[in-house]
Amino acid sequence: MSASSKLQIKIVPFSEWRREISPLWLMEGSYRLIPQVIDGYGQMQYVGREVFRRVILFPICAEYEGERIGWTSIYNISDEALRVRGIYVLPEFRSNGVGRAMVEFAMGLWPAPWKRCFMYARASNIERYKRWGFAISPDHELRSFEDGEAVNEPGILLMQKELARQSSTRQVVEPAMAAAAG
Amino acid sequence: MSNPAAFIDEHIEQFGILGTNSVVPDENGNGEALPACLSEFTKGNHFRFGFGAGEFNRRRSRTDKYWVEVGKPSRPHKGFVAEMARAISEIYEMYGPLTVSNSGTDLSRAAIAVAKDLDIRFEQITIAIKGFPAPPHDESVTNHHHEITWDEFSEFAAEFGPVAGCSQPWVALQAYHGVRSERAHLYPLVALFLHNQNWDNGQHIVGPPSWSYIEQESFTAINRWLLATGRKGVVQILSWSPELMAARLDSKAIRDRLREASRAPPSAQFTDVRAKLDAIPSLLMDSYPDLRMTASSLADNNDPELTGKVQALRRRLRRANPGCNGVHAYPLHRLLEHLGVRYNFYFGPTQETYGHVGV
Repeated sequence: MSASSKLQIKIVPFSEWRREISPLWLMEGSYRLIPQVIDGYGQMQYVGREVFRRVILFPICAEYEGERIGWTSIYNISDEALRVRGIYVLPEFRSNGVGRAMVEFAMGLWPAPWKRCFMYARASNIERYKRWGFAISPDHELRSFEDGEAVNEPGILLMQKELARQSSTRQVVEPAMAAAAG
Repeated sequence: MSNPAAFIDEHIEQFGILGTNSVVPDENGNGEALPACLSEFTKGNHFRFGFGAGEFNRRRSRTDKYWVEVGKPSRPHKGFVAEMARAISEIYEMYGPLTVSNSGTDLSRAAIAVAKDLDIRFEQITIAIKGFPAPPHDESVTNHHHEITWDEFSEFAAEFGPVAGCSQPWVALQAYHGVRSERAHLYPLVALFLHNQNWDNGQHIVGPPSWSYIEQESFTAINRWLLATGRKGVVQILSWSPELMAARLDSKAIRDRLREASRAPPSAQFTDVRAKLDAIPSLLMDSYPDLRMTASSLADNNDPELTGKVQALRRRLRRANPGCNGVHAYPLHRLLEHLGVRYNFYFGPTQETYGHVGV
């Protein structure tokens, strides 16, 4: 893959996102429902019905020449912080900047005062995410388990990145419009 | 744009978690709605719960998200013992003579002791599973003792589960006390879980403290059953008023445990931190030192035969009521601020890390 212009990143319906990701990624696929996607580790700072009134969730896909090759999602955990939930790129398209492009697209959707983005990283991906500008969150260590289930990985770690503010944020394009444009 | 509200307003209808881009239409169940809530579960119904956009409703699909909200105190609390007495007194004023589950839990014994001390009219109900010991009861108060066979109880739990949205046998047993009651009933369910989210499931510290106040969907299962069956009762005794909620979080027992479990850097002495978080027994023992606390007849029973039966029933109820295990995690710093409680010790940098709401 070389022509980055053939890579399109867009917001898609949650139903499509989870249908497509489920057979590919056991861990993410097991979290089929939005409450399960956004809950976890007490990061969500909204309480009660604020969750319905303030949380914005963008399910995101990457397409190369019209084929879906990558998926991620992003949502706000407070009025200042975001969480990227899951980054998956089909094996044959990895190490081509697709994941990084999706995450930058995702973070670029949010205006100030959102200033920080979190992700949980598997130990094997930590160096990769450091290259993307993420750093291990202060005083955090490896986690060996996720939601009570062993994930058969050496561990996961909380990482964060301060958002570089651009003059304007990326325009949120509605899924239907993006699909038509694609 | 620097105002989060403007961005949220612009996108919530489409990208909110109940928005058009997020709802999966074929997962919206059509479970029967509950009747409207016309009585007070807590004072002024300040404690509210629900699923999705509704309130005092029940789960209609596995996608519904469970939520809880609590009211703001209208005055400074007067300490746990005083607020607990006030709560029992107000419950009596509202509902008249009561029955109280004598289920043997710390909270049921505390509620009975407080009611007795206040000299209000009430009676106890004790339920024994046939073949297993009943919890001891207070001899000085009228006690209605009932026996139920395991098969009868299993049948009740199977009926209770789908009505209440619950797969917990111990909650069903608590509800069964109300079945045998002819009055408004007190169901003393212990419900104060404080969870440090930065421990992993192997009890390893993985970050600075990040405390959440946890409300489980099962804690309001009896409320839903009361609504569905037209019964009256009080389930959330410890959440009766915002002032009582503030008092328990402000109690010495809770503060001591939080202070101890939040020290930085953490050390080996805190490896059992989760056990220490079950602070209600110490709160009640501190508050009512003369009480003889006993194990629950079901929740803490060590009889291997009964334990096996309960576990099998729990598995059966889970299969029959999938998805009924929602949790609402309320960041502790936000709850403390809401209730007007201040801790003068370090309990974690949660909001510095994860950001503020309402900036």
